[in-house]
Parts: sequence; structure tokens; C-alpha cells
Amino acid sequence: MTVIPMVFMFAVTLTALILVGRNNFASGNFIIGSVAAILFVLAIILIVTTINTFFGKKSEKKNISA
Amino acid sequence: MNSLTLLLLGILLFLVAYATYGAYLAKHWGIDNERKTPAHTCRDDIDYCPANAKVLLGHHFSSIAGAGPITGPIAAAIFGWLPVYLWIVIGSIFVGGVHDWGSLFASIRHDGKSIGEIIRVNIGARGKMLFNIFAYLTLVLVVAAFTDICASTFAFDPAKPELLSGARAGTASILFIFLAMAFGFFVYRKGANLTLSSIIGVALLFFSIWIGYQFPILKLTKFEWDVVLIVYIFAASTMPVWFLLQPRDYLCSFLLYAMLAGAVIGILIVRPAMAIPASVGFTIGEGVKAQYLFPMLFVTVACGAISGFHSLVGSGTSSKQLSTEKDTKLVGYGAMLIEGILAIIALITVGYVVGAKGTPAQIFAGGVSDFMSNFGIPVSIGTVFVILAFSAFALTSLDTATRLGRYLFQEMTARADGKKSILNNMYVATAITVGLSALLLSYGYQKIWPIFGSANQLLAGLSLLAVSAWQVKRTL
Repeated sequence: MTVIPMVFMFAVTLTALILVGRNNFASGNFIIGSVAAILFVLAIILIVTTINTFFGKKSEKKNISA
Repeated sequence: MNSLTLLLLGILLFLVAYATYGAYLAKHWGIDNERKTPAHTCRDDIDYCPANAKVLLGHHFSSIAGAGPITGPIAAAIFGWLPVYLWIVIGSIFVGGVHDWGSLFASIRHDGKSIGEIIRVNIGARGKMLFNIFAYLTLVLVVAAFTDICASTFAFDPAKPELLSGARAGTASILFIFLAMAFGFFVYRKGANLTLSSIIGVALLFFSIWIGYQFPILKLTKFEWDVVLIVYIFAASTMPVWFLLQPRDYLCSFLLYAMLAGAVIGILIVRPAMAIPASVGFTIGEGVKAQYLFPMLFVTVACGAISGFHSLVGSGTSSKQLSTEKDTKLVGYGAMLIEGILAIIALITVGYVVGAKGTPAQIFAGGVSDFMSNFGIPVSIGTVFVILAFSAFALTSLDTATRLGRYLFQEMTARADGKKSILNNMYVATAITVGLSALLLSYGYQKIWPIFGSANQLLAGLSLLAVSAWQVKRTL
């Protein structure tokens, strides 16, 4: 129930951040461009952390030991 | 297409969704009405305090309904009314409603703690730290921006003494604060009947508007309003939630319901046809100024379909006041669907005339007052009323955002051994949050404000990530 909305919202925001970052760097507005880049990286870190939590090596070891 | 059809179809779909999809979600998530909520198990009568579901709906709705549900659809109407309408209806039912309700429900199953805490438990401590810092900085930005918006709305310009709309709205808004404290005291400390108190409270609310209109005595400059608002949000963040924040939001929600009812009745009478095109294609403009339907529509129409700020409210003030798990549906899902109706009305106000001019607030106020004039409310009075309601939206979001910032700061600075620290103190946390916002206000929050739309929707995505991770963990 929450997974499809989550995937959709990540598609929306990551695309928007790429466009906002690209447009602002192109027009010389480095403050907003940099904030967009930081937010993009933040989102990727959290997504990767979640994937590792559920599907990563640590999770597999836990499953095996359980 | 007639706008009446759009409005009635939207309301019908929201009602059906509330009864069917809402019931399905409640069963799927395992809403347990017998289970005690944090408002009871962690009760301290400051932040954790059980509230009547209708009162909490008023607090939650007026907190989540900032300027967004009005400005978003009006700005996004450049893509045509059809994609905006579809996103409002589908988004509110399947995306925003699920997000708001899910965040609220997940929070009460984690002792009323924030989304960050849900991430810590289900994903990891690093995720919590990153999310909380991001959410906190977003709230500081929101507090700075909404302080500026409210102060600008209320400000009196001595060079134009004939313009009194700001002083009128400001005077009425200050009266609301004292009215709310009296309401909270009588209901929660003197045991006054809620229905009777609400009737008297709403009558006095409209009397306050009349006083503000007739005697606009608070003719303060923008800077003076900045100071007054900073004092107010400090008080609203630190006083017991039942004394100021919750009753003020609850009473103000009637202002918003009245505006919604007035607009709906007006549209029923006028039945204006949508004059702007249904759709104008995927791309508008060229080069770096090009606007693409995807993703910009879904970022621009935020509060009217899904907004990350809602998850902070749900997992912040609302989750600490829910009396039963059953109430999560009305507060979490119901408030989002009501906001969807507001967004549809905003879309109609920009869509029934071609080339509507002015700011989104002016377009909305002009449209709604025009609709209301058809049942006897003069346009001049209707416009003041809608502007006042619009500023009430902003102020109720501002005070809640400050308190949410305080919660997050306290959560971030909480010691692992459970001992108290100076940074964890309620007053210190509020002072730092308000101080940072004031600094941002002084040095120009506008420099980074354009990124807010994307940041807010990223918050929504991350909140859905937290709720999804919790749901998966529950089934393992």
C-alpha cells in the first residue's frame, strides 16, 4: 500500500532534483544547485541503507543464523 | 467541463474512498481500537495529551493546510486543469492519504515518536540521523518563510493608511490567541461541555473577526510583526498543547470549514464552466526555463495531493494526542481528503476565467468571494474573510512547525543513557529553533526557498520509505 507511492515519489523527487540542480548550475545559481545535489545524495544514501538493511549481507547472515 | 461536476465528482470519490479503501487499509494495517495510544501511556499533559477526535482533526487539518493546497493547484494550472485534477483526486486517495495516515499510525506504534525514530528502529541509526537533520533544517526554513508570509500579510504601511486589510487580519488573529487559551482552560481544566464550548468559541471567533474589521488597532510594521510572531511561536511551542496550540488550531479550522462551505455553495449556485484548456501538453517553455509535466506537476501540487510536511505533523503533534487507534483514520486520512477538496476549489478559482491575474492568494480570494457574492456576501467582505482564512492557514502551520522543530531538536540531542541535558531542555530547544529561523529570515531565506518544493516531496518519499520498512519488518 505504501511501496508504490514511495517508488513514485522517489522517481518524482530525484528527477526534480536533477532538473533543478542542472538548471541552477547552468544559470549560475550555485546555492540552490548545491542544495539540490546534497538532497539527491542524501536520498540515495537513505535508499541504499534501506536496501542493505533488508537485502544486504548482514541481513542474509542474520537470516542464516536465525 | 462544468466545475460543479468536477467538485461533486471529487467529493463523491473522496467519500467512497474513505468508506472503502479506508476500511481496507484499516484492516490491512491492523488498526486495534483496544490498544492504548501514547497519549495515554506517555501522558504528561504538555505534549502527550488525549484529545477528542474532532478537535484533533481540526488541529491536524489546519496545521497541514498551509498555503500549499491553494497555491499549488493555481500554479500548476499552466499544464491545464485535467492533469491537476487527476493528480489531486488520485494523489489524495492513494498517495497523500496513505502517506499521512501511515505516518500517523506508524508513529503511535513507536510511542508517538518521529519518522526519524521509526527509521532508527527499522533501518538504522545513521538513517535516523540523516533524516532528522534534513527534516529539522526543512522545518527551520518553513518557520522562517511562514513568519515572513504572516508578517507581510499583517503589516501596516503608514504610507498607505487607507489599506487596512493587514491590520484587520492581524488584530483578529491576536484575538484568536486569547480566545483559544480561554477555550483550552474551560474545556480541559474546568470540564466544560465540548459541543457547547465549540458553539460559543466559534461565535466568539466570528465576533473577533468583526472586532478586527471594525477596530484594526494593531497597526504594526512588518518588523514589529516579525517580533510579535516570534514571541507567539515560542509560547505555542512550550506551553501545554491543550492550552494554546491545539484549541487555536481547532477553532481556526471552523474558519476554514466556513470558507470551504461558502465556496461549495457558491459553486453550486454559479456552476461556472472551466475556461482554461483541459491539457496543454507535456512541456511548457524552452531551454532551462522548460517546465515538464513530469516531475513538476507532482512537485508543484504538494499539499493538495501529498506533502512531506504532513508526515512531520502526523508523527509530531497529532500522534501524541490521539485517544484511540480508530481515530487515525479520521485524522490522518480524513484531513488529507478534506484538503483535496480545498485543492479542487483552488483549481476551479483559477480555471473559470482565462488569464487570471495576481498572486495565487489573490486569485483564490477573488474567485471564492465572487462565488460567495451569489448568496448575498458582498465581494469586499468576502475577500477580507478569505484573506483572513488564508493567513489563518499560514499561522496554524507556523506554530505547529515550530513545535515540531522543538520535538526534533530534543530527539536529536537526547542522551543515550536517558539523562537530561541542557540542549534537550524544551525552552532551549525552542529558543535554538526559533533563533535559527530568525537568522535565516534576516539573511534571506528566499535564496534557498525555491528548493523547498523538491525538499518537501523528498520528505514525503522518505516518510513512505520509513513506513514501508516498518510494515515489512512487521510481516517478517
